[in-house]
Amino acid sequence: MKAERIESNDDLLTELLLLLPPKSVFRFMSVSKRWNNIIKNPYFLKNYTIKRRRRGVHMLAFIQRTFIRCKKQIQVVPICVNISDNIKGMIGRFGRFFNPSGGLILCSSGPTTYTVFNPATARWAPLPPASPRNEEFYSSLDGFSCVGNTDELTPNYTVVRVCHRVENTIIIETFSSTTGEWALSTLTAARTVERLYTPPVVAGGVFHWLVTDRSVAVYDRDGGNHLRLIQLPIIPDFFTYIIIARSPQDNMLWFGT
Amino acid sequence: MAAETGTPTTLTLKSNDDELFSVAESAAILSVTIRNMVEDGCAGGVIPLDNVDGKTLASVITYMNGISAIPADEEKKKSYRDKFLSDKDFETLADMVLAANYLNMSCLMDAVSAKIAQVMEKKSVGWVRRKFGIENDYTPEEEAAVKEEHKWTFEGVETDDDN
Repeated sequence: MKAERIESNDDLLTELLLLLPPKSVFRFMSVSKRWNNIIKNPYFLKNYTIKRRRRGVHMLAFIQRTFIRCKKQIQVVPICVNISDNIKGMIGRFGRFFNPSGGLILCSSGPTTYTVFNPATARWAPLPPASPRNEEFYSSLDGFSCVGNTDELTPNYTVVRVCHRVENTIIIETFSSTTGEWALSTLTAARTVERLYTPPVVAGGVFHWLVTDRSVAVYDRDGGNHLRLIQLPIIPDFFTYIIIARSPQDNMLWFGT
Repeated sequence: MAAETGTPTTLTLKSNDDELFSVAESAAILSVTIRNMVEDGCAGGVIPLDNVDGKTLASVITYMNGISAIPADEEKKKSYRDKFLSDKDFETLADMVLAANYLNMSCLMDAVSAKIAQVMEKKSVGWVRRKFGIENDYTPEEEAAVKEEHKWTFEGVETDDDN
């Protein structure tokens, strides 16, 4: 079969994948480990984004680019390819864009206003207003974890907002789709918690923030009100940002520079 | 060469199953691979194309003749390409993309790749594995996890029968 020769040629296969719409690309990650590795390669994703941008079609970003004290608005880019202007307008109204999870996106248009949006079905659900909080805690620290989402807006999801940090505690406000309410809780760590500075990476429903002292603050909702701090290993010659990411394959948290 | 002498030069191309084809040099040099051979003076006799079979080469030559007969008008060239590819099935397209890659014909390559992508777009993972002859190397658990991760991408996929 000739098509096998295309498949075994990395360049040809990559060229083909670059031409596919996002929905197909993500679906074909399930074809084989090789396809998965080609697609999730950062160079592929970068080329893919550039290519689609050139065509005037946007794809959903993988990594949120707003960090603390950066007020620049992020353009919310829909996953659907042929998204109507109507939906584009809607997304604009929802405001800033946060960690997408399980196919849903958490958006925030004001300090206490959140909307959960499903780009695939163009449906959305506003959340009840959250509590006001100190300016230090920008919405970019908010976390969103969605499990068991189907195509409806009735999945099981959780929103975590960081509201206050003092010594070895942080106060968070959590919204759960099960209760439909926000609830405040105080998380305690074994030592002083330095400033959190990235949006949390959610792996297996557990939230992970990078902390300025080169540690990762870990909050597992099933593990009680405990904030675990994990010191990151020193990598020689590191001079750029530390990043953490979740591997979609095994749900492991990865860290690099 | 053709332009210098005023008489059209004809090249003879040989497929890997030993079929011979005559094609005007002016059309054949759409292939950078062939053009380089011509420029290097290697095109005197028969040009062997070891990676292309007769059926595919015939099709590629039809394309070469067709597209080179169209004056520099991108719109017309594009509609020729669309028409040329409209009745080709997946296997033929796969043959053509490999041939276009080997012959280094970027315009054909781009058009065929786009067409293949268009065919694949709504296909299932099973279809892709079958058509490309890919062995599924995921364990059932791993596959379920990857699919779960991108659940939304499985909506609106064509049912799993061929074509």
